[in-house]
Amino acid sequence: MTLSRDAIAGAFVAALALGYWLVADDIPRSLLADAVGAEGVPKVLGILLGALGLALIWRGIRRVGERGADRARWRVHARAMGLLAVGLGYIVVIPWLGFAVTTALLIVVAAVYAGRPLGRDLVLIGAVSGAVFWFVFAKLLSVSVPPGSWTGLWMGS
Amino acid sequence: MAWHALTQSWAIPAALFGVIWGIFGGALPGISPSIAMALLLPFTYGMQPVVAVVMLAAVYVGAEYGGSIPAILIRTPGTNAAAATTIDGYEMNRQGRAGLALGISLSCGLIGGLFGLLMLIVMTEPLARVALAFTPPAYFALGVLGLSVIASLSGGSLLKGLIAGVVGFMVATVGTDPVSGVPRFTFGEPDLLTGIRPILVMVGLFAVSEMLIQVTEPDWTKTEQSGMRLEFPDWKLWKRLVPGQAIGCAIGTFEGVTPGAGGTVAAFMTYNEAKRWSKHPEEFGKGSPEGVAAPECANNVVTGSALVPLLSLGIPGSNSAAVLLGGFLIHGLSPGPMLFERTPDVVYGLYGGLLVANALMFIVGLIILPPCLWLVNRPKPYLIAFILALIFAGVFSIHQSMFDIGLVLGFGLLGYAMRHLDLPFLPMVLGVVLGHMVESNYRRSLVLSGGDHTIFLQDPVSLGLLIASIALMSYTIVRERRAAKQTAGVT
Repeated sequence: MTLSRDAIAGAFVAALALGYWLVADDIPRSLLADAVGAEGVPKVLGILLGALGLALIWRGIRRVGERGADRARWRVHARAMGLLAVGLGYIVVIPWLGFAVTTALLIVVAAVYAGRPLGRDLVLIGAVSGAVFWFVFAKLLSVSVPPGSWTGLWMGS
Repeated sequence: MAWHALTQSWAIPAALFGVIWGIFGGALPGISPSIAMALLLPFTYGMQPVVAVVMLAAVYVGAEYGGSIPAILIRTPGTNAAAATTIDGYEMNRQGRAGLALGISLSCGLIGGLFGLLMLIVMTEPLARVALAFTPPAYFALGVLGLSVIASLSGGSLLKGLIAGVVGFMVATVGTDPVSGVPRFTFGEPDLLTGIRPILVMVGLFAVSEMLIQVTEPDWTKTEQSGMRLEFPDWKLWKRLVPGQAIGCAIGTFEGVTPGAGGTVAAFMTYNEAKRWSKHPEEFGKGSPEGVAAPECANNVVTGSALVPLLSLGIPGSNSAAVLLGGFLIHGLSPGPMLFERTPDVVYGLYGGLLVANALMFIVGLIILPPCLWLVNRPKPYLIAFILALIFAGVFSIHQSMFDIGLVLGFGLLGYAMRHLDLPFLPMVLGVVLGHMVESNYRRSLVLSGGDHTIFLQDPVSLGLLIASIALMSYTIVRERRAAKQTAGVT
């Protein structure tokens, strides 16, 4: 039996509601609290979302086989998650490599991941773009961008 | 005042930049006006408020025209609202009349945009004046009215709309409690103490999720239209286009003011009505100039009329209005009844900015076609890479926080999942934006009444708004059920 997408979504929603309610229940009560309390509205929201999630599961069960979770779609999802991983890599790398180099790297890696073959022109576009982004943000907009720890090593030597 | 606000700042250059950005964004399939606006949102942080809102509104105006360019040239609407233009616009292109189709789109877009602006000016202030007498219970009820709009924003499934709305409300509860000051859902993370800013939710949901979708889809069709020139309708053809434009103005106003309807619904309804009232209905679908003029006029009327509920009541009725609301919130401005009292320069500056943006759209539209064609033909991997870099750099520049980029990626993932599970975005954005207002005014009202809930029924404004909320919800539910029955009857 293939579960419909509604049933899967409902299960996620119900699980989210339960987790949210448990955290809300843990919110400490303040001496300054009003009658409703800091946890009052969140707990109601948790219950409401739980009920809506169960309703979605019920609707999904009634429509079993209508639009199942297609196994072939998982490849598509994995491809999307790959781009997300590129984004997470940006966060991890930027403290070491700094804004300009990481931005250049992001452009090259994301373009290659999206289907552009790696070549000299792409590397050049990435390098120039990294420099332009750095100039616009660090110089024109005066944003304090991470310089990268490698610049410290350079200065130190 | 509008002129003063515009000339004493960088608003006019910002409007020019916004229009150009909007036309390019609209011309790229997959980049909706709201995404084009969301990409610029972080950059407005350091700007004067009037410059920021004028630029965002100009993006909206430009994107509605830009969307018609790929609709006419490659049968791919750049924006949802341009989908109706595809029907006759692409047929005109096949007949070698693409230049005329683009000229009609541009000139009718200008007329629609100016009419929408007129409606915005006429309707907003009276509505806001009524809302000036608001008390905490009335503000609570106003928030409930805003949330009741979820029913009409649910894209056919009220259940899913409600789920998205509640999830948005839950996001709004993150941070320090507005009454007692207790931290909620912060998990010891200091960056969460001030709550999750709506801008991060919007950029993640609209822009990042779109990139995740685009990377899984094939490249869009290329077009070869070198040497193409815009051509405007002559007087005889212009007279023929007038009835369709009048229909577009009327429907665009009504649909724009109605939260949840927006430019797409307006364009398709106008197309149908223009066909019904045309002297040449047989030409529709086969390259009728009226089939381009009417929907293009309607979706540009919406760029003005959709801002009426936002400016007067603080309720965003469309994705683009929600992003514009984000632009207001970034600068500590709350659209709604008090906006005219506290910052009239911003409101009148926005009116003036929209006028300038429409004029600039026409001028820029005359010369921007070749670069637009160049951009549409760029390889998609480059566009994905540059947009991603722009998102990260823009979000980082707000608070120089890597945590914010992580949040945006998280909301991008959520948005991707929501798209695949057919959960609508706009109810969630409404929940995020209105959640704090609803909760804090609900609790303030109960503090005032000593815990007595009848305070919401004793206040006449609150009572009226709550009745309006119930009426709006009921009307939408009945309308949806009727539509579902009709669909079932047809199939």
